Amino acid sequence: MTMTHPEPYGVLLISFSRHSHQRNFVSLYAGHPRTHIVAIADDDATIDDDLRQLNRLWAQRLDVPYVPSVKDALARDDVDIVSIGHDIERRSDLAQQAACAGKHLWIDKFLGATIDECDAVVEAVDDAGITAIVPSYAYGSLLRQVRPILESGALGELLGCHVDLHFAKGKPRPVGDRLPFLHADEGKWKYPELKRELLTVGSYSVGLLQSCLGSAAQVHGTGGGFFFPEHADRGADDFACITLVDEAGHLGTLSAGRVGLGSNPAGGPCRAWLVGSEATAMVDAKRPAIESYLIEDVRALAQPPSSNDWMGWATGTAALHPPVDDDPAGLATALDDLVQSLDLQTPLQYQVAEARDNMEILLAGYQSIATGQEIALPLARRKKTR
Amino acid sequence: MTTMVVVASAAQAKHVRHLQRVAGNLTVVWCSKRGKVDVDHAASIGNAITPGVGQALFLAPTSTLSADVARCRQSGIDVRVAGPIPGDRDMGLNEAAAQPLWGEPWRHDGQWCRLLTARRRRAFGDGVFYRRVSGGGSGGALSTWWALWHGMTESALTLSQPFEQIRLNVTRVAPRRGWHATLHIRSTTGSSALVGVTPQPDADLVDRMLVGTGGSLTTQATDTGSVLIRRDTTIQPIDSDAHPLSAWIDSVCQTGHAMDPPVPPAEGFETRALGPDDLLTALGRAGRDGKTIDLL
Repeated sequence: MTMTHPEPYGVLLISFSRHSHQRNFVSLYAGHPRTHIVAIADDDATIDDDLRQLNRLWAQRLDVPYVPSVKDALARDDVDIVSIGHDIERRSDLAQQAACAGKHLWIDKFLGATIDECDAVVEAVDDAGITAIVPSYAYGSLLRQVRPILESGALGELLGCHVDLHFAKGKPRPVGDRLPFLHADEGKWKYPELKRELLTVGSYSVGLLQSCLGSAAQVHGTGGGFFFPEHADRGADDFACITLVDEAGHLGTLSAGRVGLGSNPAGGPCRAWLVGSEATAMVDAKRPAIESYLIEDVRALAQPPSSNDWMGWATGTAALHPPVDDDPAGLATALDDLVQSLDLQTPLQYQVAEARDNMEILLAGYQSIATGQEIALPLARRKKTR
Repeated sequence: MTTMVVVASAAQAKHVRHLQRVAGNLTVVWCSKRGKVDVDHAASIGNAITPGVGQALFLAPTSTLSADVARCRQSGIDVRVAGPIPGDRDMGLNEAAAQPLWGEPWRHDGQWCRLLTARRRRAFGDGVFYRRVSGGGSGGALSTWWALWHGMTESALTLSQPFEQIRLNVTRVAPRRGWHATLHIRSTTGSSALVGVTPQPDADLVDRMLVGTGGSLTTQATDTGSVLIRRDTTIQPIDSDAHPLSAWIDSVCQTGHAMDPPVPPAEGFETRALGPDDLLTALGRAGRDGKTIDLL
């Protein structure tokens, strides 16, 4: 096969929201032989001054133009891929605009803040016929370790998959009174002092369950145990668990959350059990690792690395067991998959429809925790989709 | 010297060998397949009960467990069981000796004992999450039942909080083999436990993770400290001598007690509303229907 686009793909970065991973994508685009960053854009009139300054700072640092209007940026001929790292509430609209402009998409984690917003992105991508990747869930070291085990046939029939993925971040402190569990139907996922962690962290585990099991049919969950007073004060999850039953009756469980600095030598557990009729495999994505006990790192393990990032949203301490894998989050692998898909018209390993389903499973988990009921999928929509 | 009757599954052959060394004269009643041990065996408890039999040890559940236990006791044989007995409303209490007839091998798991010691340190804070994965589902409903019961009681003691919600899910390869089950538990303080039983035979090899506000505690069944690197390049952990079931057997042989050390009342299973028979009934229903069952 021949490439239809011999020049490197031009990448437009839309926003450097503090709650996105755009900063982690920059070195990937800059280092990949088939991509280069052409501009940074945002709708200046709709964002706060901090973000306006941050966007411009990145433009200066990368020596690319800053375009204060997304519409204008999308009109540029040198833009092939749009990397969306805006706040979750803005992502669906931006993704739809970019798809309508015929640009391919790299979307950081969530398509939108609600299931309707996610549906709208899936629809826009289908209509535009563009390629859209959500890199966060299908390319990380956990899945890269799991796939060959599944393909080997050693497990027999896969009956279940169970995942514990936690972030050892934030400084736990005594929790006083706690409010009833906060529902999540309105798509409000972050507050100045916190993020909803079942969504933030659990989405990675759901990505694994999706790869191992069939379509989710039933979901039930538990929450209400807290590490941080910020979360308890709002009844908003810093930790939660979900059980998922797929259409064939196979079982998935996950635990997810932010569990405190220093609670794990590798920055938090990332383990899965693949339960088969013939064998069960336990996979630890943080292994192989080296055991690195530098005294300075041991001392720093339980200290917030930055005084203005108490929860560790943008910073982290050095792991005492750093994994050997050079691409634990799988972002470089994902970019290779996107470039190959564009070059050779091959399908991506993870589509936007799966990213939408990922959020739907988590939303069902939230509903279950808030109501105490088991929730059947698919969830009801407010808007009618096609 | 009296003879001991042992009821065991083929996968428990190593424990039968261990008993041979510890207890001497044995007659084994194998559940379904025969284990690879050179020892006298009988087809049933009825055949095994002969003059000279003084003790019976049930290491695995069978469909006739309740009747077999009753028969042994009527014959004056001292009985100990490594898990609950169906239809036993007295929770296995041996009225004469005021000792439970059945015990919980996980209490003899060195990894769990060490985890509990660390959990009791003030630095651990409050328990928020417990994950427990073990085998036990290979023999169908009854072996799954024992493994789930043990997982649930261990979780209660480890989290040390009363449970207010327990949900059961089951999937299986066939009615009599290959069961996979989960319990999803919520305590009154909002902490959670996920208990998983896989279709592999050894219910006493357990992976655990306990996460608290002050840190986390993890044990891994495969972490025996020794591995065998073979000529064919395969790598295999070497079984630890301190297997929980062997430790339980040793304890029973030494003390005569199925539940030793005795369970402190304050640390007992808090959800007395849910007995072993309730779990067994629900397990059968979940296995047939494939639906989520609310146990509490």
